Amino acid sequence: MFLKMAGCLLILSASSLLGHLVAQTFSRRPEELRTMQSMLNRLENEIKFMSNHLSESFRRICTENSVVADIFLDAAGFMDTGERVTAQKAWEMSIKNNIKKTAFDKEDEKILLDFGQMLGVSDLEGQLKNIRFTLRQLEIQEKKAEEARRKNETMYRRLGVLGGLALIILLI
Amino acid sequence: MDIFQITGIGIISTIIIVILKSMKPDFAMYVAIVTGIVIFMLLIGKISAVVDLLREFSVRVNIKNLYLNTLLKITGIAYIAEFGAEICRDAGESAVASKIELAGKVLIMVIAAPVITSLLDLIINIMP
Amino acid sequence: MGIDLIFKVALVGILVAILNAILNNSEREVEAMLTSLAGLIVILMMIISEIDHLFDAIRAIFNF
Repeated sequence: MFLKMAGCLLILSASSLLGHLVAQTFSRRPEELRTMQSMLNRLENEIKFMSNHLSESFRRICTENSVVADIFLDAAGFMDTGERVTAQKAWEMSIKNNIKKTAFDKEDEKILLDFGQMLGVSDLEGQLKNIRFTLRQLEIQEKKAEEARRKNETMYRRLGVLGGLALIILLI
Repeated sequence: MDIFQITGIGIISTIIIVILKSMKPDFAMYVAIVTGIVIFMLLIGKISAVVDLLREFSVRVNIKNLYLNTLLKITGIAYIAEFGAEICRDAGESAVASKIELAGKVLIMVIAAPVITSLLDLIINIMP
Repeated sequence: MGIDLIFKVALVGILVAILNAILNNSEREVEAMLTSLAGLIVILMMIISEIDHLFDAIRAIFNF
């Protein structure tokens, strides 16, 4: 009797947790996109008004402890190790390392990789244009992510709980 | 007492059916089917006992086994036909329900044929 | 057997109704239909063995 109840609780909590985790990927994405946008804004200001090295600027814009900040910090780290690691390569490697820890999807990743292509290649004006272009893309993605979140977050959470209940009913 | 059990089951399942009808009408039909089956299965022991009693008496009174069996078969057909027809009617398909009842009537006639035959034989033999 | 089976069928029905409402709300009609069908199949699987018992019993009693 008690074993049955314990089993039910186990199944229910496991499936609710699963639903919650899936729902979280939908809720984290808009936030991380917004964080990325604000950091790119700060990068724009850094480039416009200070003449720091790129890795220095990357370090300076990271004031919060987020996965997005890790992308910039890792890129700065790669650039500082010298040995002809270009800004593009450093950015690319950082993205490849960190993309799994973020909630970004394939489209976001492509936008960020495209951003990396133009890093440190052209002059100041070119850099600023690159940043602004990426910012616009990210804004569109943010809207889409917000929409997806609205539709999916509560749904997957509820689906987790109900799926657990369904399993319990079937197994008892 | 069994009647309490069965009445309780009936009332509870009616409540469930009413609830389901407002949410998802199709599933209410399934609960009705299952309730019918469950209640019948609870009664089977008693029905079986009564049937055995009838058989015992028929042996004593020396009625041919054929007749009792025919009667029982007819009762069985009538019961199942009514079960199916009521469920169809509850679901709104009275056309299908009438067809099931028609099938029941025809099959009863078919099964009763030998009995009717022997009855007619008897009457013809009696008549001069 | 007994009241348990009735409860199981009823709970599956309620669950399917709730899932239907949630999925319809998130504008996913296809998944809603699929879950209804799935619930139907589950209930049928539960019922069919019972119907088999019923007909066996009737056959035995009324001597078919």
